[in-house]
Formats: sequence, structure tokens, C-alpha cells
Amino acid sequence: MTTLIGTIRESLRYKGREGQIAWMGHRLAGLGTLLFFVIHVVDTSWVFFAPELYSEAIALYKSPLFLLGEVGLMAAVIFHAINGLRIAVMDWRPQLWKYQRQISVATFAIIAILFVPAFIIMAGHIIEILSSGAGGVAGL
Amino acid sequence: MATATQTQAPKRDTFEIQAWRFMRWSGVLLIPLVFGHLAYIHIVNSVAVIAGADWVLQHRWAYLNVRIYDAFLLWFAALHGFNGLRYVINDYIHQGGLRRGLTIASGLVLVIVLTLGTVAIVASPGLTSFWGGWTRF
Ligand code: HEM
Repeated sequence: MTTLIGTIRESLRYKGREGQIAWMGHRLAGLGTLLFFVIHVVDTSWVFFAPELYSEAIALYKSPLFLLGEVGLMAAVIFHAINGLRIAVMDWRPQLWKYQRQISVATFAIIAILFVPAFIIMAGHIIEILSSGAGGVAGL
Repeated sequence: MATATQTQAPKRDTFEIQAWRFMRWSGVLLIPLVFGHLAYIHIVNSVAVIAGADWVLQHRWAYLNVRIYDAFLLWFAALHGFNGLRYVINDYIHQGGLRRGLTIASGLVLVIVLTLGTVAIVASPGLTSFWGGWTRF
């Protein structure tokens, strides 16, 4: 049976180029974002269902591990969104497939250009939160 | 291991074709929804400003436009994400029973997520204004 792990392992072995990196990145980023999304909707619903628990969830988001995860999530969403836009545009305009390699490279470049300022600003937030002592949960 | 089947060309668009199209236009719609949310909460502000449930009620869900925005984000991200998960399940799980089981289980999680999220957005107290929630903290 083919598995997700098998896909990742074989993809590394196969050394596919832009298209395959884009496909695997899109799948992993989509699944990662979905996992976070489910957790995040549940904890946000505690604003209504369990306000005390909500405070604890928010404290967890201010821990170093989750702050790091937040940066990873930003990267995953930017990758999935911009690459997803590429997929949609190429499906609507098949004549663009002549330039698929160049378009893939341009897509990666746009992703990097969007992520760099986001990373710098978020790193600033993290330093501020951790140095103010607001990062609550011990051990994380 | 895909099984070859012969099918008649459908007269109307099949569910799968509509799902394929939905993934594309919902994705395009999710760009402003998701980037707007990330930009406001994580770039302009940060998780540091979120003090607790009362803070959310007072600074976010007091405003009708924020509740509507959050409802759109919730529904489109959930339907797009769980349909994507269905694609992944179909790609990797070829055993009929297991595939059906996982699809039903993920469908249940989708219903739970949509219910929890929608009830919280609609039923939370403290709605006071039509428009607002753009503060930089
Ligand atoms: C931000 C804008 C987004 C865009 C432009 C976008 C676009 C796309 C596109 C075009 C596909 C391919 C569908 C297909 O193969 O037929 C896709 C798949 C997927 N998306 Fe998104 N998406 C976005 C946001 C999200 C979000 C927020 C989530 C999670 C909640 C998500 C989860 C997924 C998953 C799990 C898949 C399936 C991956 C696969 O089949 O390999 N996406 N997306």
C-alpha cells in the first residue's frame, strides 16, 4: 500500500524538479494547515463554550514552541496559497504550460519574497513576547 | 492500485468535477480571507495581545463585520481543507472498507468543527456594533 511516508521517501529519492517539489510541498503544507485549523477552531470555540480553558490555550500559544510553530504555519500557508494560485491559473490557462518551469520558479520566488518580511516581523514579536516574560507555559 | 472502470460521459457535471472546480475558486477566495486574518492577528498585532475570552468578545466579536468575516473563513477553509483531505485519503488508501471508514470519520470531524465554530461565532454574547475591530494594539 502506498503511504504518505512512502511518497515523501520516494520523492526524495526520485529527485524530481520544480513540479514535484511544488506538488509535495502543496500537499504537506495543506495537511499541516488543516491540522492546525481544526485545533484552532476548537480552541477558539472555547471563547463561548469554556472561557477559562480558552485562557489556557492562549497561554500555550505564547510558549516558545508554539511561537515557532506559528512561524512555520505562516510559511506553510504562504506556500500553499501562492502555489495553489499557480495551480488554479495554469488549469484555467493551459497555454501557460509552455512556461511551466519558469512559472514554478517565479512562484517559489514570490513565496520567498512574501515570507521574508513576515518572518522578520514575527521574529520581532517573539523576542518581545519572550523578553517581556509573557510567554507563559514552563517547559515548552 | 487503481481499478479500471468504464463510465458513460455524464450529462451533468459529476460531484468530482464540481469538487475540483470548488477547490480552485474557494482557494482564490481563501487568499484574501486567510491573508487578511494572518496579517491582522499575526503581523499587525501578535498573539501577545489576546488576553482571554473577554478580550475576544470585546475587541473582535463585538463587531458584526468581524463575526461575518470569521464565519466565511471558517466555512471556506473547512470545506476546502476537508475536501483536500479526501483527495489525500483516496490517493493513499485503496482498501474499500478502510477508505470508507476514514472518509466517514473525517466527515464527522468536519461536522463537529463547523458546528463548534459556527455556534461560537453566532451565539457568543456582546455583539454591540455593526462595524469595527481594526485596532492596532
Ligand atoms: C489560502 C489560499 C488557498 C489556496 C489558493 C488553495 C488552493 C488549493 C488548490 C488549488 C488545491 C488543489 C486541489 C486539487 O488538487 O484539485 C488545494 C488543495 C488542498 N488544500 Fe488548499 N488552498 C488554500 C488554502 C487552504 C487552507 C486554509 C487549507 C487548510 C484548512 C487548505 C488545505 C488543502 C488541502 C489539505 C489540500 C489537498 C492537498 C492535495 O490534494 O495534495 N488549503 N488547495
